Amino acid sequence: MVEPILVVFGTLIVLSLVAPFLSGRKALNYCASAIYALLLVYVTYMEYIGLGLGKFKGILPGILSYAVLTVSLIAGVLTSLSFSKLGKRSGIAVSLTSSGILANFVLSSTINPFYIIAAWGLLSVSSYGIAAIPKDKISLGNSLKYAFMGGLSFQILLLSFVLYYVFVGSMVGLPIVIGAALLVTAIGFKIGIVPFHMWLPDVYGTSDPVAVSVLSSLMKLGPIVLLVNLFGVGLVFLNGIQREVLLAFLMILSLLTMTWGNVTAAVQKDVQKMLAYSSISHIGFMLMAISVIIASYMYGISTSLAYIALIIYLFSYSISKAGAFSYMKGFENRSYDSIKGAGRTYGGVSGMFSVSLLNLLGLPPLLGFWAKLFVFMSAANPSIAPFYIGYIPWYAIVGIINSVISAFYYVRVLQSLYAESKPSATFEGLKLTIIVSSAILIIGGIILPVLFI
Amino acid sequence: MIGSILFLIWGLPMLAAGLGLVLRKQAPFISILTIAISFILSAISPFIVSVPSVISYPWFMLLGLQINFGMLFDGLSIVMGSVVAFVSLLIAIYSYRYMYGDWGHIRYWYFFSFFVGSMLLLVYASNLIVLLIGWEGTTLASYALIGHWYTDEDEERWVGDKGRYALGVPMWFTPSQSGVRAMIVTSFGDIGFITGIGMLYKVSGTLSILGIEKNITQIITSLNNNGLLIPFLIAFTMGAFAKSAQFPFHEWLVTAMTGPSSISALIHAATMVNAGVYLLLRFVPILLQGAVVAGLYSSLNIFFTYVLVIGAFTAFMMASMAIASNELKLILAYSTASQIGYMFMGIGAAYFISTPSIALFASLSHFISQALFKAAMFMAAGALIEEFSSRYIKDMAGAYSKMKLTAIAFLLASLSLSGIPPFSGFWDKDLILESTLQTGNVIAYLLGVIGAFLTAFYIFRAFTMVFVNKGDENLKEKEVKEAHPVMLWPYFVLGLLSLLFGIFWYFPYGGLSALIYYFVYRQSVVQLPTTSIYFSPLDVGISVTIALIGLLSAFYIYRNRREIVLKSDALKKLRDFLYDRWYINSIYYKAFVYSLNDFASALRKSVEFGSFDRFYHNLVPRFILGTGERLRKFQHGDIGKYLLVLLAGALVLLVIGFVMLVLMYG
Repeated sequence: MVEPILVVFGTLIVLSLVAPFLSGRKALNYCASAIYALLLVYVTYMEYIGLGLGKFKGILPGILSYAVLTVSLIAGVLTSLSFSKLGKRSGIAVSLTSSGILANFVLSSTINPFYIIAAWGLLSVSSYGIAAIPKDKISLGNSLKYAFMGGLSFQILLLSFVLYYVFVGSMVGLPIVIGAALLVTAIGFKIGIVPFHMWLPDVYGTSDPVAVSVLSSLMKLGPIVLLVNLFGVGLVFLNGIQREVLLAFLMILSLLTMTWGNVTAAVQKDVQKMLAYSSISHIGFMLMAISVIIASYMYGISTSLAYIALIIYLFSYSISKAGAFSYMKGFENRSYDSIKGAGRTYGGVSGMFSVSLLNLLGLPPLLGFWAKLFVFMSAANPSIAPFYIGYIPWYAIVGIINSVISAFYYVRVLQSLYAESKPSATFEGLKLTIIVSSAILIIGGIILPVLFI
Repeated sequence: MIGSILFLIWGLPMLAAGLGLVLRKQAPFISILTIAISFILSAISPFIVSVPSVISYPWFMLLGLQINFGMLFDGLSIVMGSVVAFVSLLIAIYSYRYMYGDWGHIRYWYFFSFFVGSMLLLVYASNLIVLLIGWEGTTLASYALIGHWYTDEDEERWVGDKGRYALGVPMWFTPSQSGVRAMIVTSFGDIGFITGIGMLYKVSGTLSILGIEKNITQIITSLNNNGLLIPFLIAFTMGAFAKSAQFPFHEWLVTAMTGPSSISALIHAATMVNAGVYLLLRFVPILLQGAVVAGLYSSLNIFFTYVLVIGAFTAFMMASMAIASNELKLILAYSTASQIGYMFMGIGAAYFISTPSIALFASLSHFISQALFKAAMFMAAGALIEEFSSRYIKDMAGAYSKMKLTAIAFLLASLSLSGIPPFSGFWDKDLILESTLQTGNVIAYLLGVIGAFLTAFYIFRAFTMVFVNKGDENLKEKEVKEAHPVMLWPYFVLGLLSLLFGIFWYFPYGGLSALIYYFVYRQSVVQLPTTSIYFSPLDVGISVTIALIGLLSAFYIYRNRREIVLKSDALKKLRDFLYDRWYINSIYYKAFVYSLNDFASALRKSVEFGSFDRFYHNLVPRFILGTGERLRKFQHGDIGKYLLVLLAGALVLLVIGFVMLVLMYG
């Protein structure tokens, strides 16, 4: 019997090698989608019968790497459905998506610096490539900006590893704090934590939406989990005060990120840019879940609720972003004014898009509601002292307030969608992504609570 | 398990409600068909399952309590359920024609089926949670159906005279208003009911009817030890009093006349108001038996006196209002509350007499009689109102010449209501009054007897004015004709049935009464001792005489008169007092509605608009948008500055870390 990990790696590598030769073929993206779906089924089955991907996992809790692989594959399925929009370069997109999935999986499964560096490079290359695929001036410019900033963050990552190797085990606090700060900076760049997010609104907000749908739904998953893994394991090497410093970093950054993203999203005049900023604010919520995980380790309480929260959030975020950005591709001009009335003219697709938005907002019974609920519930754990002022779970409350603010700009989109007007748009080749993603959100939202009963 | 098929009794009407929304045109037929099946299943259920028995399935766990979804089949629920389904079936057939072409008929059929389904669920419920679901279902459906013509355009559908004020409070009610009134008043009673259920759970740890029956001794003892027995009983039955429109909750029923006449028939005869009676009939035997075992029989005295007196008072009060009313449906509405009052009297009297089951059975039997004659009357009234395009009895004079069959049906029902032998209304009302006399509570008995007199009087006042009196010249020009057969037959059958039911009701050693009586109280959750039904000649004589006096005096006073012109001021004031429903509505509005309204609008002005609205819709958005505009300036596309921000961020993190280290290491 072949080791499942080899099957996964082999399939993805072969796909990324073969796909460029089939570029432009109509069936290619559906085939890729089907292959991802089959892999998803295979991985799930293997996990179910207990033959999972264990050999690679080492000392880490495997659930996160399994979740990342699953979410990446679902995101792959969803986004490749609309790759026909990329025309001749669809093969390259499939190839880069496969590499991205592979890199995500490796990043989420390890804390070995060499693996991390290799996977980081692969993920970066795939991201820059996908951002450049539409090959127009804006996309190329964005890709270049992305690559340049990415290069810098790579250096910072390397620097933090160097510090780790030089000073490991030292009781002198400063180098470890510096290392942690650098690590947060590097990963923060990759996933868009404020203030390392500056590239993100440009790339997500102005590039081709199909490329952005891959970037936003797929290319962040690995680094997010890497953050959990590194800090979760890294805690072993830290003393009490250093741990407090680390938690403080995460809490400050999560609040800053969600608030900054929300507030700036609220003033955008372009829907795609709004979605870009909302991506930032969602990273803030995920950081909240991560800081709960780290805090749970520190205070010696059960981490399972926080893990579940993070995983559901990854699912909900990734799937709804894939659908939402694909919908944006239907329009030439993506300002609030120019999508006016789309809900009336293109009822079905726009309805599904509305589901994605409401999911991002966190409306029951969609998956996003449970994601947010679990994050806030886990953040309101009374055993974690820093999250409380007296009896008030301030950390969760700030999150909830931010979530309420986000209603402002999501509902504004709905308002535009169902206004009286006749916009011009075409959703040929995009419908599947939008419809399937929303269907997963609805079904997932209904099934999920049943799973936990 | 073959018994599971009986879940269709309430399941089918519920299903019909949903299907009707999809199939639209077929909605009436689906409804009629499913209610017919429900009736048949109800009637044959004793042959399918043993009686009494419970069919239930695990449903969910709540606070460590296993809740089952189940149906209870015993004498009481089967009799009650069969009557409900049968009368609903006839009303559904009537509605097919009555609501034909109505603009909201899909909605009508949806709620009609849902209403019947909820009522059957309530009747057959095996525990209080399921019962409560049916209970609230009827509240919801009654709200929707009373307010069926919610646009309030057609004044023919209103209740009360437009422009009439009592103590400065308007005395006319539109459909939309009445629907809300019904929901608020009955839900207010439910506060007590739900509190009672909570107390019951706290004390006994069970909510199933069989479980309560098993633990009743312990429940009564522990409630009594805490001094909570009487408060608990009053809270628990508050929902029943509100639902059955007993004083002080009677106001909603009166204005519920804004709904379609078929719905009035359904609410008054088959569903809604009888739910309260059912609840008491269900739990009073359990209570009585438990109290005997616990040795606390005497401590229930206050509660049953309360039920008896409230019932008698409502019976009298509503009958007195009915003699002054001018609207046909309103008279019938008063009559319902009054008749339900008699049922409550019977239930209250049960405690005081040697064999309680007799009085309880009298109430149950009165429910059946009431269902038969009241449904007939309301459906006939619906036909009359449609034909004459007026809800006032004075406008309907001369109806006999055009609508002979309707007149006969109405007469049969009226005789039953008045309590003339051998109609069914006579037997059970007399049995209730006899039981009341045995309690020794003279006030309740006198109120009951005066009520009986007034009952005969008001119904024959209406009958004389509508059918006996000759119409004016306009009548010939009006196109008044007999109701359509689909409408006519249901109420004609019911009119005949109230005669037949009465004829076969009582034979000294048998009859229908004995059949039902033994079925209900020997094959029940609680088997009460039974005795043979006996009527004392003196009481029968008194009852018949009083009813006849009432009947004949109404006939002589109102014959060939359209209106009675009162000369003395005192009488005029009395009539206004009765016409304006003892000013109770006005008092409620002044005491509760207006003051609460003022309080709410003050709250809205100061707190809602002054604080919350200003904060959420004014200050917060302005702050966020302002901040957002400022932050947006950072995003300018210059990569050098991006780098600067990134490095600055990393630096800030380092500084924070350093400061924390310094602070903590000291």
